[in-house]
Amino acid sequence: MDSKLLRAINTVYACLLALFLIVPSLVVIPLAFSTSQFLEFPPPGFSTRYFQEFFADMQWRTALQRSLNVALVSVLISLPIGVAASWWLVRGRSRFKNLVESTLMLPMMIPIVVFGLGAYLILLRFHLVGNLWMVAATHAVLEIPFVVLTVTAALQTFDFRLVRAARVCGAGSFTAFRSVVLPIIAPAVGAGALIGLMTSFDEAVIALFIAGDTLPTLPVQMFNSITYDVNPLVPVAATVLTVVTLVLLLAALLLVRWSRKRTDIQIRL
Amino acid sequence: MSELAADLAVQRGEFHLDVRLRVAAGEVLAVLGPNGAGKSTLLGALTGQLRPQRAAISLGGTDIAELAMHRRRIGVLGQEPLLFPHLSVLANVAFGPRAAGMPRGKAHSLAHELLGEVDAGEFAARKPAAISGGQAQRVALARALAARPELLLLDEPFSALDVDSAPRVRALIGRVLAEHPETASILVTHDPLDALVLADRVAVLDGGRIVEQGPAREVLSAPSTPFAARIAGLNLVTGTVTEHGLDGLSGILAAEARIGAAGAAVFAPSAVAAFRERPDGSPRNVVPAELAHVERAGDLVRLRLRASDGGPGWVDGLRADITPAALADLDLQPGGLLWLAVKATEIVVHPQRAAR
Repeated sequence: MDSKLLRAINTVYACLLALFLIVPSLVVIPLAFSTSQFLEFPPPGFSTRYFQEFFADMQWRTALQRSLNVALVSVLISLPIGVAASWWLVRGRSRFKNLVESTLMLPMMIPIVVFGLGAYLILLRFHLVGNLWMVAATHAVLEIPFVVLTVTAALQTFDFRLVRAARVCGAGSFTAFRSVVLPIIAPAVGAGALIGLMTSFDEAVIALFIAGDTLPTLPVQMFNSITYDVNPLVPVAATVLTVVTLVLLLAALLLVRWSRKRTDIQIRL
Repeated sequence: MSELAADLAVQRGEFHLDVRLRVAAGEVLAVLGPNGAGKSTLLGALTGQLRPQRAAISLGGTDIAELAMHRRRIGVLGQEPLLFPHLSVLANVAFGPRAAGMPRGKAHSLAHELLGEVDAGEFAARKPAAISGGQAQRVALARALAARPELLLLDEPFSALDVDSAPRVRALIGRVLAEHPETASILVTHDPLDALVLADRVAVLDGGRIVEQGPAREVLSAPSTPFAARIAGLNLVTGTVTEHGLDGLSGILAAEARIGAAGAAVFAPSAVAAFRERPDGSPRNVVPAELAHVERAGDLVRLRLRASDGGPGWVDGLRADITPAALADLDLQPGGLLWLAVKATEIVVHPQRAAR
């Protein structure tokens, strides 16, 4: 076959695939600026009415605030644990390394409904449901694999002779970690944190199980609002969710790239 | 004043290191040895990276054998500079003092001062990635000195540098060490030239033991063990540096050699040609000598020479590698007289650390 034709088919195919991947997440954005109170597509007119309503509505604003709080707290839990675990996985000498690594990665493999139900049953037993701290803690478990993945990747290319260099200069092992290792792997740690924020911010299932009826987060509030009626504020919430997530994702990608560049420089030395 | 006295025994698999060392303040001890002789094991035991079977390490009157790595007051300059890539050159040098709790301003002015000492003041604001290997090695020296070590370990510090910058960094380290008479230094190297230029004393390490030690000049010019001779390998003549070479010898002056100062002419045994009659044409570096004995050296034969009556004294102990055919042409027995010629271009005159 003509190679030109083949290339054209390839291009069309790639474009269709990209559209299929991107359009569903972007289609809600015009709906958020619609004049119609039904979820009509295409929207009949442009207005920022529902946007203003969303940010004036106490219920939606509280839900957004809850999501942000939960995301922040969950990352504050998962980040130190993930970094410490990565250090141990790269530097430690233990027979159980593989076992620990697989266990840490488990939340990535298990269906989220199963994981959420399990967490719910355990927390119910200890009368801890309806508690946003518990949502944050459970989200942290989901985030740890992402932190471990990005940070171990950075540590694997880290030149540990720099730690020895710091030690003979008179730095204790903690000072050496804080002032040499951490600054060099900082972009990877930052990327892990951003992916963590993203994971928690748009997570609905666990939040629904643990605090769904009393303290809904933004995704849960959305879910509740379209279960029983059609709410024109849902596309606005979806837009907020999408934009925040995309910004976090973009920032994480940039940090990962920066992190690679930094470890490259270090290898050249 | 810091003096090092170390008595170490380390077992690593099959390998056993058993060494006693003493280095005075301001003194430089060169530890020479081939790969696998135990040089890095020795350094690891001193810095605290390895756990020795037996260790008594006294440094400046303190027993440091049980101390953690960062409390031993030992500075290290390795093959690679290992500067911290995220810090400026200045912050790299200030790292040790800052880790020890020195206020930022004071640490930075100390770092500026040390960078000046190693001629790297102009790079202070740059990142390590933006300077050359030789420059980075100078900065690493300043960083090691900034922590005010009582013992400085120089671990093959020139081996990763290119041929142009190695001699310059070597000369600079010699100068800087002389400016720090409070610090004892150990230079680990496989290059006898490093030892000759920088060290007061040489210890030859082989199979985990010190097989020979003494003043650098003696060990390198008249090695008493075959092993030391093999590492030294080169012909070495000491004297005073002149405009054209060294005393009566013509040669090339190394960049850092100073006329009128102590120096050493170094040339390979293969650079020495041997003749039955005085050769014509080449007026320089032609001298009479007496053949002491002949030994095998791979495919060549090695002539050991001694001074002849009326000939120059520096010929004593010289080695000349020639082909078996050339030896046959000479038709000579030990005790016989011959003429030697060494091309001036084959002789390099190096500065020598002033005798203490």
